[in-house]
Amino acid sequence: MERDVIWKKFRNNSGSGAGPQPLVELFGERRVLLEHHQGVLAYGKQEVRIKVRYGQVRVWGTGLCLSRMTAEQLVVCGHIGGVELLRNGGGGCE
Amino acid sequence: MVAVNEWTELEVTSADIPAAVSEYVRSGAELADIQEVDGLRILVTVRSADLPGLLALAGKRGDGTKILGRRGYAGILRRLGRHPVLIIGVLFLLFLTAFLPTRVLFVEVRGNENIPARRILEQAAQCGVYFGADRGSVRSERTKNALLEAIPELQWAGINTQGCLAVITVEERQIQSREPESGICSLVASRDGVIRQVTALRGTALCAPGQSVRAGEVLISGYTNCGGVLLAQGAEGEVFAETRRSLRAVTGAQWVLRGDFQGSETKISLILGKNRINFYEDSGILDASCVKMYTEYYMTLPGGFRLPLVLNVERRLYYGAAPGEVDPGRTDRILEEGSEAYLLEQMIGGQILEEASVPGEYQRYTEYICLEMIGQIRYEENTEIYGENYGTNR
Repeated sequence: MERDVIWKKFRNNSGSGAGPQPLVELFGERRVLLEHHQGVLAYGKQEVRIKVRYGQVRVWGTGLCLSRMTAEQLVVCGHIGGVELLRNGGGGCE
Repeated sequence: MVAVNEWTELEVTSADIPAAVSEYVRSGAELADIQEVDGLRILVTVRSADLPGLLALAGKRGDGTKILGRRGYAGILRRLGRHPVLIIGVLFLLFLTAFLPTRVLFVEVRGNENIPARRILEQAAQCGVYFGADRGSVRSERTKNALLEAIPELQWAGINTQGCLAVITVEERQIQSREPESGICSLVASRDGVIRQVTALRGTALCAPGQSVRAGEVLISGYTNCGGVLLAQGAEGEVFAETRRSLRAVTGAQWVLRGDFQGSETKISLILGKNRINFYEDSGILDASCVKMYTEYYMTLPGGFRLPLVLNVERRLYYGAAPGEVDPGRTDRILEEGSEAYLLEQMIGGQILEEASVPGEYQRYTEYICLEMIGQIRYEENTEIYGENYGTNR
């Protein structure tokens, strides 16, 4: 698919050879897909924090739930208020 | 929409829900519909194939798990498997639905009036039309020919199958009345009487109303004088006359009378097709002191098909029987009714005008005056008049 080709190019151009890059996709205001995560740090109906390579991704809103979760992907559903990347201290894009 | 794979709904209790969920997915389990119940519990749906591993991991972590239910076709089938009787019943019903319409379960005869249906059914059974026969093997032409050959009284026969019902339609031959060789007959008086009405349809009337006749006298002759030519034919007509009859009827002084009710019992038998299976040992022959009542219960399938399986419940009521003297007044009435019924049967056609009886004890002598038809056909032998069969009306 074209989407996969585009993202593959981004990954390849990121300059990092150490593993896959986390990927966050927002579908409208109801679903967030997150790939290559490293686990859930906090889980609640108003906030979900997911650990990623550079820090954590914070999804906040109302009525949040994890509709699907595997070792590679997870999907957060609900009324999404916002998605935020919280970096670990310092550092830019690799 | 029901999923093909089986999913299990689980309630997980853990002190650290996010860590527990992360560890579950790292072990390879796929989780879905993760919903928070409270700070310590979540509802999660996991693929049933991953369930053993997840439960083992939860046990190691010290998390509590509770299985709430299963989803998917695999789960449905597994639940059904716990009800073998239901599955067997459904399969049996499907088998009946597929198998029964291919068989003849009922055979019906239509159109017969004089020939017993049983005779036709027996012949049809020899030709392959019987209970349980394959519908496809019923050959209409072959069965028809066999029936017509076996039962000469049939003029036509046809077999049709409608579902499980085989219908044998027959048409009987119209039996022609036997005509005598000569064809000449006269109407003679069957008993003495006084003529009241004469109707000659064919032949010559030799009597008139008011005339008294004796038994054997010719009432309507088959010979008609046509002025030089004698026409011989079969006489036909009606002659009503007033006759006298007498009857003596007697009955016994003692009858076996029904006494008090002594008890009852129920006998059950099963009728399968033409066979009867009795669930009792006696012969079934009872005396007059017993009253027998039958109730038959038929087994029917949905749709109205009736199976040849009948439960016959026979209820016997036993009464005491002892000889006893009957009231003469009651016997007199019975004798009177019996005499009249017998007399009317003896007449060809008629009615009773008057009666005079002399009752007695357990007997009755009655004289009747009746108006009845007394004509009786008497065939004539061939006679030669001016040559053989001259003027014979054929």
